[in-house]
Amino acid sequence: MAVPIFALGAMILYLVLLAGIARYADRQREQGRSIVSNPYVYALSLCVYCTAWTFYGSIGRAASTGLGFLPIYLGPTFGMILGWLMVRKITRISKEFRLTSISDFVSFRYGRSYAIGAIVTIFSLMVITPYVALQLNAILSSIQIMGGESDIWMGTKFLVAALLAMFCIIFGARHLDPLERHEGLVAAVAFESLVKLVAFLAAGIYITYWLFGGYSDIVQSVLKIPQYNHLINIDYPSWFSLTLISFFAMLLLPRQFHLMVVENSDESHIKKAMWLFPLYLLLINLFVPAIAGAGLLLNTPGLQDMFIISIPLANDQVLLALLVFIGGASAATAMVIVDSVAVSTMMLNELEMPHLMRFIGRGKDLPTLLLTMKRINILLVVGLAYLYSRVVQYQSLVDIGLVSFLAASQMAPAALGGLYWKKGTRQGAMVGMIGGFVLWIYTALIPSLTKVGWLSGDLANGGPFGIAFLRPTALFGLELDVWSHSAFWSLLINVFLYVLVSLMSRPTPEEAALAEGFVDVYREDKERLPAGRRAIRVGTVAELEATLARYVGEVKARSVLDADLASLNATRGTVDARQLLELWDRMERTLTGSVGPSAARLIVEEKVTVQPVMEAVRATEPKYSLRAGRIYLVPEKGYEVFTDQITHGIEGLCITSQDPEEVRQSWRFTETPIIRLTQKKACPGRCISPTNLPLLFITIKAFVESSKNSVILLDSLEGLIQENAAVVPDDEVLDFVNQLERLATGSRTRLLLPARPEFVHRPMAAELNHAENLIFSVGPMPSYLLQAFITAIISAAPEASRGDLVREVNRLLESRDLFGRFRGEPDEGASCDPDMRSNESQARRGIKVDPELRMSRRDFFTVLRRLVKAMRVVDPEVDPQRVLDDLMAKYGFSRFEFYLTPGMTYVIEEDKPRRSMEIFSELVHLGMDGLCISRYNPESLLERYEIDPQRVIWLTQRAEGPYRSVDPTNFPRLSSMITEFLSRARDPLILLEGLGYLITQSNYETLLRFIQSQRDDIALKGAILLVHIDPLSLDTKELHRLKSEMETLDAGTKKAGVEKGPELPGKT
Amino acid sequence: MTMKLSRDGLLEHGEFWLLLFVAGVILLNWPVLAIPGFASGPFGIPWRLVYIVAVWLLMIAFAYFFDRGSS
Repeated sequence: MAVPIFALGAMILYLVLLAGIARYADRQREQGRSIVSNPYVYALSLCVYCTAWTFYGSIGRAASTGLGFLPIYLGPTFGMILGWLMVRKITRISKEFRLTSISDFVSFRYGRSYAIGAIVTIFSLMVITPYVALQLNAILSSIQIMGGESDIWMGTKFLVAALLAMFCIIFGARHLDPLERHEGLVAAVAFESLVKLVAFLAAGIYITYWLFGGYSDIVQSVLKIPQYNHLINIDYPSWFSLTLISFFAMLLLPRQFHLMVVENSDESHIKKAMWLFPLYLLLINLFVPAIAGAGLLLNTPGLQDMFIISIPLANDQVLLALLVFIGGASAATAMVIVDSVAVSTMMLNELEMPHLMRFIGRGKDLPTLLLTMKRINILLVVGLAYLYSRVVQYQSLVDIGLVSFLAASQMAPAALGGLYWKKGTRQGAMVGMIGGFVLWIYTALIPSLTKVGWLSGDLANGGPFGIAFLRPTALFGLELDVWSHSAFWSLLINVFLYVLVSLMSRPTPEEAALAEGFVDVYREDKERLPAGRRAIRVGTVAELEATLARYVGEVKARSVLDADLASLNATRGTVDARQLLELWDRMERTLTGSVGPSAARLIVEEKVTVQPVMEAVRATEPKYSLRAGRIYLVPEKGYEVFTDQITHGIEGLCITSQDPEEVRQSWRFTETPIIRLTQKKACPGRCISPTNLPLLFITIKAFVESSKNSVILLDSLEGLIQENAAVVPDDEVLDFVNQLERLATGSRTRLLLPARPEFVHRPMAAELNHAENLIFSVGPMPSYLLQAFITAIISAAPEASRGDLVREVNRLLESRDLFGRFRGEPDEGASCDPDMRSNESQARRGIKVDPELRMSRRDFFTVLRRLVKAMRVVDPEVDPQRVLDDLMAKYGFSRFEFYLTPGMTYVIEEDKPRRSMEIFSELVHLGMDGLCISRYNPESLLERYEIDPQRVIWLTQRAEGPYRSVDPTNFPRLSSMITEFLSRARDPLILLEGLGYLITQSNYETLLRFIQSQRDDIALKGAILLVHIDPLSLDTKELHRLKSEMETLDAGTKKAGVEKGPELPGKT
Repeated sequence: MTMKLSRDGLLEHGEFWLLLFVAGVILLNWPVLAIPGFASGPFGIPWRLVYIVAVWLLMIAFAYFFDRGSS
């Protein structure tokens, strides 16, 4: 009796030692001296893979199947060979998005899917419960072997379970950590890995070289005994399938994911683990065949799994047996601790938080509640496992490890597929996993439960309803071992459904963006957050901190925020809009780490979304016909038009500075959400400060994205601009209007902007006015835009010349010459309110753009060209190309709008007119009036370049079909068509292509004369003519004469064009 | 024409690890695994076990050199 009590005491002391190690590691971390952040500890922690099932079970498998235990360790070895490709990628993604469990990882990849997270968690819990029970039973069995069978040990199991649960809570749920990193726990697990290796090697050396004459002695002796001849053979299908599922298990088991990914502090540690972990696996298995053989040769009584303890005990090596017992306990406790912590986090994030979010009040102490729930989860996992272990004996659990591995493998298609395949969708992942799990239950779990007597053999042996063809162990007549059979069917169906359903379904924009973020995680130029959600989540720093504090506590929130601010080189007082945007991005990640992706999304959405709701539909026809994707300026009837739309089946959002109740009563809409623009902090309903433009924008964006057919009333843009004048930087207002325009014109919404005629820069009709180029149409936006461009160009100029440049620009801005004929004179009553002038920012920048300036889009680029040219005269070093390209992209302009000067004729040299067509199409889509004279069929131009056939004159001698055409010899006709076009176009652009054909059909001189005459017309009308030439179709002299009539445009290729643009004005 | 081969940076290529993974799976599965029998090899240990451990060690060695070369 003394031995087992001694063993139990030793185990308790050992747990106390582990607690000491963990505490020491935590303290070191608090002092900034991490002992865990090194590759050796990291590699050792991964060896949690070797549980009691390895420590004891490998020997049992070796004694019954020979080398059949090895695939369980070869799989992870192969996995680590791909460590730098796969593990690093998973780690990078998880760090980037703060994913803290395998369920977070899979659910986040598929659009933060609550359902997928819940499925993964439930199955993890199902798998972990018997697996943890196995560990408890293994500890108890080893104690029983040391002390003999007795009922008194049942109490020991409870004691062990209670101790382990306590240990898990202390070191896995002592406080909330947004990153879910637990250095104490990692240190303890790494230490345990060392202990179990030392114990195993000590027992192996003793048995192999002390009791026997070495490895060869044991192996040869075993092979001489006929009843063990089968140990020579390898069951190859089983070998392969076990290798495969253990490869997946090494990546996807909750404990492996936790230690390998979540606890990883440095990606470079993976390199060390790539060889240390497989080496560990090799070493711990080195003596397995020898110990198993020795046990068989010595006819050791009891469980074959326990040979490693029973052989030393039978030879009176009590201390060695005790060491082995501690090694086994190490293997078991490490698994229980890490899995309990990992699965409890998964339960909290995936199952509880999404529901909790809906029911908890604002006054609750959330951090304490979250911690408590996590601790309860740990108790639940260990408690369930304890109850399970009470009803099932160790012998019945030996296959549980493989059943668990198979279950974990069912996550592989969704998890690993999502890592490399962008087309994998939420539906595909869900259907695939469910299909795989169903097959797993049918082909693996049912046979296992039948084997231990929990189910009758009727189903497993005879098939359902006696249909042998559907037997769980030989589905459709496929006769294999149970593991290969289950792996084959479950993974086949899983992968098949995943791929098929993914191809048949469409991802949401957010899901597609997340897929990009996962698959292209190494791409330097990718958006840091998925594009679809990039501009979401903005408020004040105080709002941000308060939101975060609710979930992680005030102290933690403050420290996280301070660290983030420091990393952005900002303070609470100086943070700008862009930094604030980044802070909110980071906050969502921090929350994802704390409460999981589903709940983090709910928290963020709670703050920003407005759900689209439809009003009761009237049985009349709508009075106003509005097209989706358009912006309308409405002088008087904004609310009337809006009400007309929302009562005819369109979902509406009303943004107003008026009292929402008054609006509702006046216009009699009940369901449609109203956002009030007010500075008041305590206002009923949904309110947004008019100066919080980013929050207002994301609210609108969230609404637009969640509705398929919507209308938005913003009353009023003018008031909004006035409120923000001198409060926020002009470019923030500009960005708001620009983003709003791009959002409205790129979606299925209609944007109604009630506006006074004086606010708009063009004559307006009484009712609806389609606003193209909003940014050039209202208030001080053109001047804000010009100011933004000039400021950026001067900022990029050499510092020494900036003062001169500012002076020159201001001189030009004040002179009428710069603006020429289109100078915006302040009409009576048309001027913007003086408050709109952001004098402060102008003074700060030194650029004085008149806020009353009115410019069309074309005028804007003319002014900009003149300014750039003048700046290059002041300082030839000014090279604004990159700045201009960035700004053009930001505001959705084409770079050619700047580089092409009205009144000029340009020649584009390329063999096929591909780039010429692209430029033409691009400019026409941006609002220029285009005419394309081409040898190509208008139908093919529509298909290839989206050029409207109405804009094409087809050079052909076969005047058939619905298209406008002209005979290539009929230059007078062509000329009159061009003249007619120029007379009616506001912003004309002509592309002439097919010169080779024209020359062939007439002659070179005629063509040259035609171009010369058109060139004059072009100059007079302020149009732009692009002429495509294939340089090889003309001889050198002809080419030179033609080119001398025109400017050369270096259009480049589409890609190269980004790097090298056309020549800048003023370049010498 | 002479062919120039270089080992420089070989281990840095993702494709190399993919190749090693595939090679490892092939070498440690049927039919290649059936070639070494259970006849006694060095120190009386069956050739099959020696072969498995040798391939295992080879993969570890590659990973070790990768780590050493880049640290």
